[in-house]
Amino acid sequence: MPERTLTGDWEGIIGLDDAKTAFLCMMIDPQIKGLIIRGPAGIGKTRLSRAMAAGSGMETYNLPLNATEEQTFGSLDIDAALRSGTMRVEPGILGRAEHELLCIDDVNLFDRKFIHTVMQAIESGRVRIERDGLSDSYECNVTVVATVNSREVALNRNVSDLFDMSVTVVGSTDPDFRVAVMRENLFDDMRDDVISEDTKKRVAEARELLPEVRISDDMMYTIIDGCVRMGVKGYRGELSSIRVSKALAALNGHRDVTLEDVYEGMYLCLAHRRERNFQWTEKKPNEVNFYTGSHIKRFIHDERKANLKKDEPEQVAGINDEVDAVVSEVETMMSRAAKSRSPELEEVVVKVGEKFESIDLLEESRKDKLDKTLMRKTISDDGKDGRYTSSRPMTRPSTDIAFDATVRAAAPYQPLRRQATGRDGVIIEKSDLYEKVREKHTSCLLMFMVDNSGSLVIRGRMRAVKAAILSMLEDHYVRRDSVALMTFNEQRIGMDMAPTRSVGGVKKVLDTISTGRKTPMSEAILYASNFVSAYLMKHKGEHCYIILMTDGGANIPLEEGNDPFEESLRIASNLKMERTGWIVVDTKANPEPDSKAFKLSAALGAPYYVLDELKSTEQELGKPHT
Amino acid sequence: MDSDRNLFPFVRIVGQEEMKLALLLNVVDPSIGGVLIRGEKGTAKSTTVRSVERILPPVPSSTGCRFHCDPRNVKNLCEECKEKLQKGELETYMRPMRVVELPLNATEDRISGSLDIEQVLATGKRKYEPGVLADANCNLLYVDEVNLLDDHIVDLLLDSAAMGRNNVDREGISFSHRSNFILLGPMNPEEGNLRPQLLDRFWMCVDVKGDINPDVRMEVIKRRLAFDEDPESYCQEYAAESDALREKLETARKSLKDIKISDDLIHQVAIVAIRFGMEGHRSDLAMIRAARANAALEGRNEVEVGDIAATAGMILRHRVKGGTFDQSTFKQEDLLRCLRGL
Repeated sequence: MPERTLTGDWEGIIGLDDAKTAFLCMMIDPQIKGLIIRGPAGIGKTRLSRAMAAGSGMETYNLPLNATEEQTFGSLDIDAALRSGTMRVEPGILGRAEHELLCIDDVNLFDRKFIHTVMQAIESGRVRIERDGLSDSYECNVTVVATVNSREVALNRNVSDLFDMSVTVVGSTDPDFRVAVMRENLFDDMRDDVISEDTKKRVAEARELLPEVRISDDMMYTIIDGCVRMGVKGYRGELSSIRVSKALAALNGHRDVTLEDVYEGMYLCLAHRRERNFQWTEKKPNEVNFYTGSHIKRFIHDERKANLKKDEPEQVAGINDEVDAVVSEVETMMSRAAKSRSPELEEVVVKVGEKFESIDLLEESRKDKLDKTLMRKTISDDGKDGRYTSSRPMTRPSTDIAFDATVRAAAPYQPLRRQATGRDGVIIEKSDLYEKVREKHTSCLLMFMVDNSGSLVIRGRMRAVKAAILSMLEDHYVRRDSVALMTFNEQRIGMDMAPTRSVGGVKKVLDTISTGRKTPMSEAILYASNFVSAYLMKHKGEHCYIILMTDGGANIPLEEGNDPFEESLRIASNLKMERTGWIVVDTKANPEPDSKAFKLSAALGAPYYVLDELKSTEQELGKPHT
Repeated sequence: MDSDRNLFPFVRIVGQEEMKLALLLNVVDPSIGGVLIRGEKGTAKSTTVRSVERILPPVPSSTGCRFHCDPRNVKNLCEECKEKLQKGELETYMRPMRVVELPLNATEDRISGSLDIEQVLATGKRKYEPGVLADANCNLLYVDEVNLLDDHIVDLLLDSAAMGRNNVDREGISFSHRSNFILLGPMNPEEGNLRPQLLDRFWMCVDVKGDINPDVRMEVIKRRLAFDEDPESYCQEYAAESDALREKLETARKSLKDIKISDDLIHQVAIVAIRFGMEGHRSDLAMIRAARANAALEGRNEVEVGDIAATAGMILRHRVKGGTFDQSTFKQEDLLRCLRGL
């Protein structure tokens, strides 16, 4: 049978050095509680997390993806209640893992609310229970190692903030390295779990040294300055960095935290907390002002970029005006050409540009103004399918009985009832019955509504639009949602791809989308709204997001004589659509702050994004392990 | 099992060589870890997968164990077996491996196992009742239309497939047992794609097409008709052939440990992995293991480049980047060119 990564030898796991360092920090200072290992599948994340536990002599507890709340946080001790009617808390996984290691695989796949509660309990060091007629709390000192597969949905930022450290692992392109990994794993999967005596000794010494380690104000300022520059929200970044730096200093055997420790600490603690659009670059000594060390191998804010951004808007606005003028001129030309059936201008087909790692729009817009009821992923469901997450007293007849909760509810009364009835076994009455609360991933239709009028072609933006669509699909919505594609221009408003769960055809369709001519914005919005309403009528329980990719420039009105743009705004603000959310992506390069697309997004009540800002910077964080 | 009798004999399946090879390699070396079979409906995906059961060699198993623990693997015995082992009461027997089926509409509690309600009500004691994942331990787990599984069921499979363990923490039960299976998943790509994470858990992937050669189709139909007419005697007729294949697999399985792999070859695999942009190391390992199993199947005691050429495609196909949108950007020519050092 496949003997996979259940156990492993710490020293035998090649690479993943950052993760190992991070783990040593957790062993040195139990106050450092959480580590995220992020990377593609099959890189050794899970194996390392198991080896950590085994090697450190801690017990490993797993938090399974389908763990119920009762089992995780704790609940009434059924046995005690049945036997003697005592109300006592039986701790959940969080209690059982006290002073041990908790592994959470695929932490990004958990229900957000659930995992947030788990991490908060761990951070605060206390689990509180208010359920089943119990009110209690117990201590919770747990070290957490979580893994995230970088090909799946991203981990919620509020959740990841509760982890002290994160490391990102990327695949190696060094043949010798890969040979070594193969050699190591090919024949012998069953190894004893060891962290070498040397390393253990180092950790033990570091632990002793830790109380004496001091961090100077200068170093703390370095950390604070770094956090501010990186746009880290809240103080967790600073606190974690300081703790980890101290642990690193202890590990390296000095009493004073050095600049090197600080940089390493920040590297481990801030990667998942920095602002998304923050640019990391390789450190170049002459560009550093505050940082004086010449050995910072990782990343430092690129000053030039920041300065550039400040000066840009005015310039850009000027350029945009010029482009606008040219665009409208060419559009008119194209319109005229189309009327005279000029073959060379009939169709302009643009190929798909380079794909990139994109951010998850839905995830992002959660923070903004999207309707809370429209959240993707889970809703409580009345059906019998879905994940059983918790239970509630049965109020109407149901066959979906939560037996554990029912027995729990009945348990305290058992001695009494047995006395009263003289019967054995568990006596359950109707009032004890609990039913299961199930949560189900709701399907969601993502409709890309792409403005393929002339203005986009001329600005050369169509490639970028197509690349963005593909990247978003690939990164976040594969297999989870249905996708549809609609385009609009003067000639045609319509669906290029009907809603489907198979995204295989998207690329082909995208490749053949033609662009050209003017923009009938009002009509397109109405078309989209009609289509989606009809779709949602048929698909009860689904939600829809319309991702409108446009520069906002409307120039064909619905009614002759109207101002096309004003009209589209009016229509947009009067739309009433249930279970539907709009997201506007401005396709202009460097749009001015109050661009047309922005105004349109305001009218639609939609979050607003700029095309070029969709790229997530996560990939740049990866560091080949050599 | 009664259903066994009505399985179409594996040895009588026409064509579909790659799918058959993939299945055989997995039987020889279960650590290759599963096959995803993509193909249109009616291309004998499910028939082939089910029929594997007829040629599975026997494996040792501890008597009376709910998880069919493999007694050779002391470290991974379940608690009950460990206890027996200490008392010296662990008995073993040889049993044929089975293909355990996971129906699409299975509920969570039946898959991961849950609270034994009868026990609770009768005695007031909590007991874990094993589910499909327990049954699948040391067996093959067959998930038809794997791309249509609900997300929360997929998550369950991911957990087990990753660690070879099923951890249950629900309904008042906290239990963990081994669940180490060969995952077999036929799917029709027209119905939608697999989530990337599950895709990666299938170490191999084959694409199946119906043959357009009329003679081949004729043969397929004839055999099927003959089978349908009298399944029992049809199976009887080819029993000897099936037994021969089973023995061949058993021999190959035993010889696996003694097969040599040169450093050069391992290096070549690494180059191939890099050339095709593999990120994780699962692909590298799978390529080596598949090549080794292939050599074993052919009765050689050293892995050759040809073994890699014959098997690596099954591992790379679904992992090549861009594969999400294009059915396959992997080309066998590229692989051969890469192996030739071009």
